[in-house]
Amino acid sequence: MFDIETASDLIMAAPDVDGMAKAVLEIRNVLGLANIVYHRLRAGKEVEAEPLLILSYDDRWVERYVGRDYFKIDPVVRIGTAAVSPIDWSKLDRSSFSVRRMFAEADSYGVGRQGLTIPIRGPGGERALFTVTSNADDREWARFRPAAIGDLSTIGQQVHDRVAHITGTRIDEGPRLSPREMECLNLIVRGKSSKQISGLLAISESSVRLVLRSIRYKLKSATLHQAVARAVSHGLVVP
Amino acid sequence: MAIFLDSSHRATHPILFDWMFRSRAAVFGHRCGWDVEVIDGREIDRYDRDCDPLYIVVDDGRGRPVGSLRLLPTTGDTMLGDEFASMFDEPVHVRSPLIWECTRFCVVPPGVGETAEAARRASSDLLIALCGHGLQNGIEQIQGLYDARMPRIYRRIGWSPSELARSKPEVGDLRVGLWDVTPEALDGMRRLAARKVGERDRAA
Repeated sequence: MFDIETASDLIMAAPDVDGMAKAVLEIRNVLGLANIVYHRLRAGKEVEAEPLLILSYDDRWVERYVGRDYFKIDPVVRIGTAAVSPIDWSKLDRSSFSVRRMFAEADSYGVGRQGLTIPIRGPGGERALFTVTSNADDREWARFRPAAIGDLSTIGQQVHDRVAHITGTRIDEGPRLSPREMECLNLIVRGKSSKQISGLLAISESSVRLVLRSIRYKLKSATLHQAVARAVSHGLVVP
Repeated sequence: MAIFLDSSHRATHPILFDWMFRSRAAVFGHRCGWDVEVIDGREIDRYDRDCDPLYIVVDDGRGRPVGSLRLLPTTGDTMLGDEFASMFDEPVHVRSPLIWECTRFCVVPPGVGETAEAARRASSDLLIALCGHGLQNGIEQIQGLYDARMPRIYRRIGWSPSELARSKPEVGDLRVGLWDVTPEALDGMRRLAARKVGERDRAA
């Protein structure tokens, strides 16, 4: 689809929040997006008094947004922790004049014609919003969105997990794969397909797919190929 | 007709939420005899209260709600992750933004003068809405907890889960299954549902 392996590598290499902000700028370019915003609402069970924000937006837009207190009327922000499904900006309530004016202004600062905000969840009540914007026209966007949304969710989740680790709100003990996951991983390294693994381990192919998704998540990888590389570098498997 | 609800709709759709919690009490509390907490005739657990789930509610085509289900991303708190994992020998807990957990799949029993067909249609509508939603939103697999009577129903609807685990015998006969979200599954269910409508119309 697009280069999510590079995006994933950039995220995992970010040493701190500033580093993540730089990574986000690069990822935006790698993925052909107009902008990316990561907005942490909760690092645990409590709503953050000063939510962590990583924005690729033009600084002048950020200044304008803060100066006019757009947090109060921005329908994306108002969704907050109740959000559970991705929200396309075309579906937002723009019935209020001030909201329409805000979006028109945003447009003039290059925020992006299309927008998608993906709610992110984590252990212990963590919540965040991951927004991507694009300058694609409506038809391109209608085609791009359903095809890309899985990958964008994966990337957003990785940004969230990495930020949790670098800000110390989550203790990361390193990937702990279950015995079943180790079995599958070793078979993948030996070049077996899902179908072969299903036969060898006497589990359904659906179960194999679940295990592989879990492995990708635990190894903070966008693809299986990347997961294998990370497993090797962690010393979990021998190539 | 399917409607998608989350916490933001509690204020705008109080009657629908109330109906859902009451029907869950009737089905899981009274009918199935599960160990659920029913207060004032409503079944509401901590996942409803604290986890801001997504709910799907379907109606009978005349505005009367007849079925509902609850969805949570496996990246956050889930029943299988937090409390039910110990009921199974196989590891059932998974975290992935691409896999969501479905629980409280609830269809009201047929009323007086209604056939089991109405309940089957409600179940079909729920699964069609679930599959369509998954395809639109990047969800690749649904993980669900169900009892041993359900697989027959899923088969008739046209979207069967692949069994991941069975509960330990002392717990009862519960299963964890995986549904693969695919366009083929959605098309298959729609075709089966359309055929049923055709049969019903011809019989009428």
